[in-house]
Amino acid sequence: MGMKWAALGSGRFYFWIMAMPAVLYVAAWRLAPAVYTLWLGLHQYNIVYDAAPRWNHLANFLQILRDGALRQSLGLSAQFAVIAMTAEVLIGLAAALFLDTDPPGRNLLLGVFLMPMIMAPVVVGTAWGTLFDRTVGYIPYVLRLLHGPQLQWMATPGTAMFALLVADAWEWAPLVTLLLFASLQAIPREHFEAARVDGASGWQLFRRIILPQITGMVLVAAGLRLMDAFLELDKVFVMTGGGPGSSTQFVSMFIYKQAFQFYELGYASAVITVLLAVLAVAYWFYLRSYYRTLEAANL
Amino acid sequence: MLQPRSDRHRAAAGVVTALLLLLVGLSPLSQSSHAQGMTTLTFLGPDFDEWVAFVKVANQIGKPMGIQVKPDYLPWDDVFQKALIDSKSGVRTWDYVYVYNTWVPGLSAAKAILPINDFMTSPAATSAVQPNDFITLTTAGLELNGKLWAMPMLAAPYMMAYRTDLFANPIEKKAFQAKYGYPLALPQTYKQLMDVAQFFTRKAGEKLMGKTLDQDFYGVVLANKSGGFLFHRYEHILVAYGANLIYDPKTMQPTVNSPQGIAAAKYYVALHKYMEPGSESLTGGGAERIMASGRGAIAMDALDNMLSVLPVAKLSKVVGKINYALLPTQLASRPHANVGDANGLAIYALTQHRDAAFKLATAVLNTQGTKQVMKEYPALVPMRASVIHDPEVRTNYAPVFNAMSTFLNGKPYTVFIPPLKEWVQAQDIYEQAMSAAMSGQQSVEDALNGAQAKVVALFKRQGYIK
Repeated sequence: MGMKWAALGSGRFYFWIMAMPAVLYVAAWRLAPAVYTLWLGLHQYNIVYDAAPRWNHLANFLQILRDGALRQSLGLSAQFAVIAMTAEVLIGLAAALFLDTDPPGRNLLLGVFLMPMIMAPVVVGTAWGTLFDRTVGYIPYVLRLLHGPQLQWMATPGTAMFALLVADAWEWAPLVTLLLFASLQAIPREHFEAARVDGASGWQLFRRIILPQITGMVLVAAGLRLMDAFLELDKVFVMTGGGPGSSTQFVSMFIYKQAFQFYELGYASAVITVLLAVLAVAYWFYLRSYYRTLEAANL
Repeated sequence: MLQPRSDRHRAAAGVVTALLLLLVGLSPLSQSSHAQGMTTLTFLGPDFDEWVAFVKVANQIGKPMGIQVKPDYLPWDDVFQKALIDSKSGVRTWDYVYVYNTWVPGLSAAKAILPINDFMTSPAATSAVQPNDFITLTTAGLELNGKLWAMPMLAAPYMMAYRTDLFANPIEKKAFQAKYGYPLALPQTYKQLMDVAQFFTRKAGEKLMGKTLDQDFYGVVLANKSGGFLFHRYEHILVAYGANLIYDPKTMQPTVNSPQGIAAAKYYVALHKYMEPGSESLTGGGAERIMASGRGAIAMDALDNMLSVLPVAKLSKVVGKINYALLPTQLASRPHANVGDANGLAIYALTQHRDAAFKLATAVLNTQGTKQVMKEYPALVPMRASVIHDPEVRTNYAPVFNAMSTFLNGKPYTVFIPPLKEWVQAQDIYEQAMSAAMSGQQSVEDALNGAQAKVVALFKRQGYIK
């Protein structure tokens, strides 16, 4: 049974007083910028050359439909996000399973493994940009020693994307590990012991006991990483600048360029608005499937 | 209830620490620009040797005038953005802003800088600027709509630096004649440049001048980093091939995918095969380090970039083996075509020290001041005739004098960036297309057609065309 307002204090006045800080916070810090962005999206406004925003009907939104570069950026972002998320979940899961076996020095290992996650993304980008650099980078050097291919990592579309994926997986697989390791630790050990007594193999343990109990967390981790990777900017900015050509110009980089290199704040705002709407819909589907999965697993 | 004594001590210590941190944090804000009777001018510019030299000399000259200069250095391409955004936001921090000629249309349209003409209100002030002393072939890029937007400091004519020992070597001359059917010589045409670049590009283990190479060797060295470096190297070839710089200023129609533009882009993509792999990440300085390490036959770059590295013994293995020449010719009507590059010192529109800024700028960038800057930065390519023809400069800065003489006497076909305030934006679109073509992401035609569509959309949005 829901709590009645009167039960919270002396009526509605008390409720509003208590709720006001949160309402103000949401209104000032969340809603107002979003509304302003939407408003700007309906205007032609070059922050440098236009004296004031000019209402331009829905021209910016129509431009979005025609903008091939934006479509390409969205495609690249989706491609990057799916591959990065898959790699990070697989690596994170493998690392979590390993740590769950309680190897010697587990806490130290966990600490070391989590370090990339706490580094600034720009530092991660700089470090990996240097590692892949043909002149001073360790990776081309090792490949040279091993008589491997002499690749221009940042100069060809495929290798530049691969370098970004490696950097992203290095930085964020630890987060997945952390989430899944916590989930694994919560599985009662008796389940494993009972299964082993019944002769279950390692794969059967994983398939029948572990996976059903960590599915929810795997979905959480995958969802978090998918959305975060979709909006990746820092490492792209530092490592490739969106190039070569536009082969790594993800949607965040596209918006950044529109807003801060071309100063087209109106158009950038329109793109942000549409992107926000698309992501909100995607997030709604994700939550729905997440809860359905949990229900199916009786969790 | 009273807190225990130790808790109160901790709380007091915390408050004191917080106050101290606050004081330390706020102290820079309290700096007066008139500290100790000095007027402090702030300079927003790139961390380039010539500007470090400028600041040093400005402080020497400014001291007796009661003026000092404090620099704030940013990466080169960030200076433009910072100046634009700050001026639009009403930031009054700056007095001087470094200006590159391609930024002039944007900065002037945004009213981020003041025209120098605004200060030339008296014969004395005009005389301090010495406008008749400017070498217009170098300074025209800093002018727009009949006004000078920055005090000229450093010319950056694009030229070739080539290895004299390679071109004079009998083994190489014989091999070149046998392969191409004409004598090895400094390329006069772009076809010859391609041949020479191909001829000298060799793998480690092959021979050069009869000696086995322990590293790869490249026919031509160019900086291809996106953000301006690539376009500033490519634009000379674009003009040499008869194309417009991105659009036709008479009709405002974009011409990115004109037949001449496509031919120039194809040439550059083909020439790219004979450059250092990874040139896409090279700035001008980086490219010259490759040339200086003895791994390139010809460099094409801004003269000051080359002069600041190639003749410097502690940086270069090719000292005494380099000479400078005009860029090749593609069309007889455009001999040695190049796009004029210029670097200057602009006065920030929201400066709070207008008079002091003008006074010091003219004092540092006049004939004597420029010579003083050259002492700190010997690669400075001056933009004043009085400096170039100064006997002291001729003697002490012979490489600069000789190279500039070659440039001026050669009367190259020189064009300047058109007055388009969205120039940086259009250039970025073109550069991205070139990068896509060079990396194989797209064919030259597809890349330039795509860029053309984007520039058309940009021009339509801005109302230049329908």
